[in-house]
Parts: sequence; C-alpha cells; structure tokens
Amino acid sequence: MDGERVLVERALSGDQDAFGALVQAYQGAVYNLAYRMLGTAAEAEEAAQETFIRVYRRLSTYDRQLKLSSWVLAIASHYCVDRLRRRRLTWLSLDSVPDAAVAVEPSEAPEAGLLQREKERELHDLLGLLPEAYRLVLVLRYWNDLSYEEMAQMLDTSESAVKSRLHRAREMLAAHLAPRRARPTSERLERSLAGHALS
Amino acid sequence: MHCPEVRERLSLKLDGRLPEADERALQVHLKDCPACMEVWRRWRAIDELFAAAPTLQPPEDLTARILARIRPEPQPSALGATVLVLGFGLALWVAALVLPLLVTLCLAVMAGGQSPWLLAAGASVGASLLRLAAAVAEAGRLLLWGAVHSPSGLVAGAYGLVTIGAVVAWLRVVVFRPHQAWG
Repeated sequence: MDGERVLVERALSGDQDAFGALVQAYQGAVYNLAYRMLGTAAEAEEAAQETFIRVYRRLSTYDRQLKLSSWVLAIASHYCVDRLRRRRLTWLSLDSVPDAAVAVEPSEAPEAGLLQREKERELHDLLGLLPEAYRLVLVLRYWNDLSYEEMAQMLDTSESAVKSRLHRAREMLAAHLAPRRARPTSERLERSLAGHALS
Repeated sequence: MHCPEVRERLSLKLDGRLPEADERALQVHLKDCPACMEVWRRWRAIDELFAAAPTLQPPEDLTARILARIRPEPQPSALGATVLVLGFGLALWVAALVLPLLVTLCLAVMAGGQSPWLLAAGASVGASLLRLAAAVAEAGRLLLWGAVHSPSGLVAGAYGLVTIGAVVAWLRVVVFRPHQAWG
C-alpha cells in the first residue's frame, strides 16, 4: 500500500514510469470489468485506455482515504455504464456483438473451444439481460472479487443496496435460465459443430 | 423458516455471508421443499457458470498504448515565461527598429519628390509612427510593471528597460533627425 502511495506521488510529479507501474497493477481488473460490462475485446481495450487517461488527469483529486483499486474501478464503472446507456440510445444491443468477441483461449482444442465459446456466449447473453446497475454488481462480485463493503464504497451506496442489487440480479438471471437450460449444452454443441463443419 | 425468507437468503448463501444459524435453518427447509430446492439449483447453476468464467488477460501492449496517449500537461515554467518575454521583446524590437527604417526611407523618397501632397502624406505617416512609438513605450512600461509583480520579473523588467531604451533611441535618431535634415 505504501509502495502504491509512493507511485501515486511520483506519478503526480510527472513520473510516467510510476504511472506505468500503476497501470500495470490495475489494467487486468479494469480490462476484465470492461469486457464483462461491454462484451467485446475492442470495447474493453478502449474502455481501459479511457479509464487510465481519466485516472491520470484526476490523480490530483484522488482521496487517499479510499483504496486506489476502488477509485480506479469506480472510474472504469462510470465509463462502462455511460457507454451502455449511449449504446441503448443508439439501439445497439449486446446481441449485435460478433461471435469473435467471445473470449476463448486460442490454444484450446476445437471441441473444447466450441464448448467454451458456448459457455461464454451464454454468460454474455445472460449479462446482456440485466440493467447496467445489476450487471455491474455481478461483474464486481465475480470478476473483481470485491466484498459488499468495497462495492458499497466504490458505488457510493449502502451495503444493503449492494446486497439487494445482487439478489435482484440473480433472481432475474434464474428466471431466464430455466428455458435456456431446457436445451442441453451437448445439443447446442452439436449444432455449433455442424455449423462449424459447414462453414 | 418459510419460502420467502429462504429465497431472501439465497444470495447471501452464495456469497458466503449467511449467518450460521440461518444456514442450518435454510438447509432444513431446502431438504423438505422441492420448489425452493429447484430455485436454489438454478441460482447455483448461475453461480457456477459465472465463477467458472475465465479472467482475461489484457493485450500485452495495453500499458504502452495508454502511456503513449498520455502526454504531460503543459506546465507554466520559468523557462516558458522567459521564452514568452523574449518573443514579445523581439517583436517590440522589430516594431521599434525595422518599421521606422522603412518609413524613413519612404519619407526620404517623398521629400526628394518635392510634391506637397506627398509631403503631407509623409507627415501623416510620421504622426502615425509617433503614435506607434507611444504604444511601444506603453508596452515597455507594462513590462516594467510586470517586473515588479511577476515571478519571472527580472527577465521581463530587463526587456522592458531595453525596449524603452530602444524606443527612445528610435525617437532621437530615426524620427527627429530626418525632420532636422529636411528642415
């Protein structure tokens, strides 16, 4: 933590290497948050870049009482929620995201890759069903591993509000999961393989 | 514990935040209530799906790309202020020395022509030059004022004094001498 503070002070005095070290420390968390919120690698990268540019410009306003990670993730969250709202205004939904956006390790075998792709697609579709505020708490809980307290501080709300949003988000997903799960994954995998063979 | 209370607590259970007493009551209820058990299975399936999703690695050159987009904000520095004053001083020097030379040349040509109309025009230009000289002197005075009130005042003040000196020299040597000569 002290090392982090030193890096912040050095970055504030114009040391770009120090700021680079801060970017290195938090780029994974920011990139994953953005990817799960926005759904594509390209948008996640753009969001990560914008987030750190905002962090750099606002570093002098950073309140040392807050955890730096929470402050950085709060900036990333605001950016992603704004993007989603603008996307909704332009009638572009997550459904329009191309298949290539789904994260799959390139080294995986084709079948395993397709299964992974299928799971990612399901996850992606489920997240796309949720309003931004509910999607955000799930992403922070599962991919950023934040506690209720950290989420409440980051989102400037109460712990009970966080609990309530998480509960509501899961409830909404569970309501959608039953019909989706009626079609077994193996059947969907076969369909994917058939489609793959034809293409 | 009844069904609504159980369902209220499922999210806390998934996050490992359910108190031990509630945990036991919930387990007992789930064992005897197929409807709540079905809801719990769905919630757990979601939890497993999310928990199993991989954490992604950002592109390797992301840090480099971010740093490339960040340029240090231009900070006002003593060097910057000095360059500003130098530039302004240089501009005044140009105004004080080059323009009068050109106009003097023009006046000499007009005087050689012995045309009353041209002489009147020359006098008009001369009057304009005097006004310009006054303006330049005023700029010099402001620079002198800046010398007292600004951090880089020493440089500004020096240039103010040099500029005023240049204007005085210009008035004495370039503007008044030709009148005497032509008179």
